[in-house]
Amino acid sequence: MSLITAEHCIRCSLCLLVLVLSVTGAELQSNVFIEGGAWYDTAWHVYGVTDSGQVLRGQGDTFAEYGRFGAKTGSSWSSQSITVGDSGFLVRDYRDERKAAFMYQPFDPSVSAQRCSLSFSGSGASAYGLQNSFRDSVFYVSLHTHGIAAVSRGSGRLRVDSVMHPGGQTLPGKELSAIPPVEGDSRRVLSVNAQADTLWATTFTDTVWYHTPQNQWEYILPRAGYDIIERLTPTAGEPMYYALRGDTTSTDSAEALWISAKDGQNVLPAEDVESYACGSSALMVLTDTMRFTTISNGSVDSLPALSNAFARFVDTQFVIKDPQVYDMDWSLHEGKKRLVLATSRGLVYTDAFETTPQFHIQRQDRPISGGLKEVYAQPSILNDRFGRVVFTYSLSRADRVSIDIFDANMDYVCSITDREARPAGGAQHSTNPAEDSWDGTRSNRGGEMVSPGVYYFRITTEEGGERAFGTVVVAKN
Amino acid sequence: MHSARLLLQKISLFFCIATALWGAGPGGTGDALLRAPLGATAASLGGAGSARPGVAVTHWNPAASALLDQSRLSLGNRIRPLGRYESYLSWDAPMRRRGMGGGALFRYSRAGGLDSLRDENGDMITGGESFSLVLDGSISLRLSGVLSAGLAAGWAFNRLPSDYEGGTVTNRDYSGFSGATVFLLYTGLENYSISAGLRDLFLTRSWSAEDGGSGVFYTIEDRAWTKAVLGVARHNLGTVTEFTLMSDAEVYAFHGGIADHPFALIDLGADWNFAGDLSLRFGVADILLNGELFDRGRDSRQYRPSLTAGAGYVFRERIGRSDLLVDYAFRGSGAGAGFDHSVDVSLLF
Repeated sequence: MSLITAEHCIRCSLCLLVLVLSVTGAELQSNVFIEGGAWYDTAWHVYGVTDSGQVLRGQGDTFAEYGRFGAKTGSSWSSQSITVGDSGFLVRDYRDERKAAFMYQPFDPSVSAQRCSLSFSGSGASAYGLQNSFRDSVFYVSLHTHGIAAVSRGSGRLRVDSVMHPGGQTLPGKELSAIPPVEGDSRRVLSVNAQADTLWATTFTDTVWYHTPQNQWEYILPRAGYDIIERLTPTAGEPMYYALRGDTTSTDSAEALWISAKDGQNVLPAEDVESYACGSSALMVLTDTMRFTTISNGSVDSLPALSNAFARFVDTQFVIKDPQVYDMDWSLHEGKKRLVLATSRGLVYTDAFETTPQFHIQRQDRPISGGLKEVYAQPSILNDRFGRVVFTYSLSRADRVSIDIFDANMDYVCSITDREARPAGGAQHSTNPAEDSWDGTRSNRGGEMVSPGVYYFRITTEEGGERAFGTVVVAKN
Repeated sequence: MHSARLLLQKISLFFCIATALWGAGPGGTGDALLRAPLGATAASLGGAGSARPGVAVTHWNPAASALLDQSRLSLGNRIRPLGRYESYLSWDAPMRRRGMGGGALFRYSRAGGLDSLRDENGDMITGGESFSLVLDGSISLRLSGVLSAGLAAGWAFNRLPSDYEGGTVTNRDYSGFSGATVFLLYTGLENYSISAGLRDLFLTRSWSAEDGGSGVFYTIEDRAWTKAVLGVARHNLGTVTEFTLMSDAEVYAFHGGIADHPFALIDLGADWNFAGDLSLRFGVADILLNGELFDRGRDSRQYRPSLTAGAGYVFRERIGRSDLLVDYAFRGSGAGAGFDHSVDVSLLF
């Protein structure tokens, strides 16, 4: 089996880590800078947002304020969608319909003015993700019905230089609210992708536009110009998924393009499949069954070792056995190929995916320092749906941890762990999900449930002398 | 007439004992809100409040109302660590001419920390509520000049988070019988008050007994049988007058065996009264009587002794001819969660 080479991965425009995080209905707590998931870029930076609009970026244990995107003092962003790409990341507040793009890499990350507001008040314009869209010191953001925003740094600040309509004119970006919508679905931009000096724009139809260095718009029809290298039929039957490989002769692009189809119609991005393609190979995973498959030169091979490794990982690391998978990607990390899955529980990755795959999870949380909000049970309610909760925490340094359960009168109920060694949190939890969990019984090994009610758990560290309390509700017996 | 009164006494005593034997069973020990000493007076005495209850006799000893000197109306609040809160309103009244007494108690208890609940992905979920409302009534009968019997029972309402959907917590309500309490109080020995009783009779805790069931859930982890309480108060200790030593022994009979559980707990308290107006109180709560007294080993972590202290002051005839009492108590948490602070205001008339 021939898998994708690392060199291809670097060159390939689809070698992006695009994480979409929706914190629907969850109000971010003050000073909590990672909620509900993790956002990473390919440089393994972690991003977070506080309720005061601070954008934080860090790596490992260190976090620094990266920018601020609150439109006004004291404004709180919530229900956000964040897309992270190589060039920057995009934040969308669904409640107030605010959007902001942040750019990194070429500029000093300590400059907080690297935000660019993308709000089109009343225009109905939507912003889609940043990808590897950086070209000639300009990065591009898909504005859906309003074309493509070209953002650059002028006089030390980010600004929208222009708005490009695929196949149409380029408009000055000073008055965004005056930008008219594009005409026709074949010009509604789904994603923007820069390859060398060519800018690619996929749309909601079969049409794919590309902008040449000669400032010309051209288009291709992938269904006509691309070859279907294989068609997959899931074991459950419909829908069927198609993997398409690009015909590089007509586009002068080395990338391969994957498109998923459902009932014969393009549905980008696919709902139940994530895939990565590069050169003549593709890797796909059906997110409902988490079965991995490679497609290479027209032959389809399943990857049982990879699939089984992921299943084992989920069984041992996750309380909830069906984490949502947002995206799949490849990257280089310290010279090694790394397969990365963006899941609802954080970033899951494996290095030796071709031989002996073993998955790990990376996630950033606050160090334990006391108080109810510092640690939490996940989920916090034990009921008929959830038979076990995991006590989630991060340590500022490696220590021995004890976890005890108390009832609402603070009478001792049982012990979960007793001075067990746990690593520092850093980029992932210190929690050992296999041990730091409770099934609602006194023995923690099944049997008679404790009485329904509110319980408190206490996490203490032996050397650090830290202590924190959290809440768990038992709602069954 | 005298024989008729003796017959009534025997019937009452029989009723109390029969009720206790009938109702005793695996119904639960009560609760978080019931196990925590109610009122600042009892809280400062380590929870030793049944032999000489200061306030809320409906809870501490329903047999005591028939022997009270004055009626009492009390309002109390307790602030507890981790966002917990309790308050109560009680009324205790003797009816001497009829040889009876009565009382009523309304309690509110709220759990904290429910603003930090998470879903299975670690995202915040909001709207969780947990509180209990209990309305109890009691009646007591003076069986003789030194012996009285009492019965208390009532209704409880509970709310508890049970699930969530779309980031919002679904709370579940529950209401029903709050359990019964029977007590005897004997004052026939010089300088002693002795009480004995059973709490939480007929109390069921089934979560699933909904739709017409009378299930009441409380948050205490033990699957204990009905709790038996023996309270002793020694007044005028030694040569020091106005010094009272009190103790409550709570006996648990666990149907899961006693190997991993405390067999009995004892609460001790001392009350030193100065000139009838100022009282200083100290206590030790939850002393484990299973052979591992004060042992901080693993097996004794369930109930660790905690120190309590408090004070009370009587303002004489401040409202008409009525006296006003103000009591304060604090109690440490064996789990290291902080201190409870209780304040009561009572009117004696």
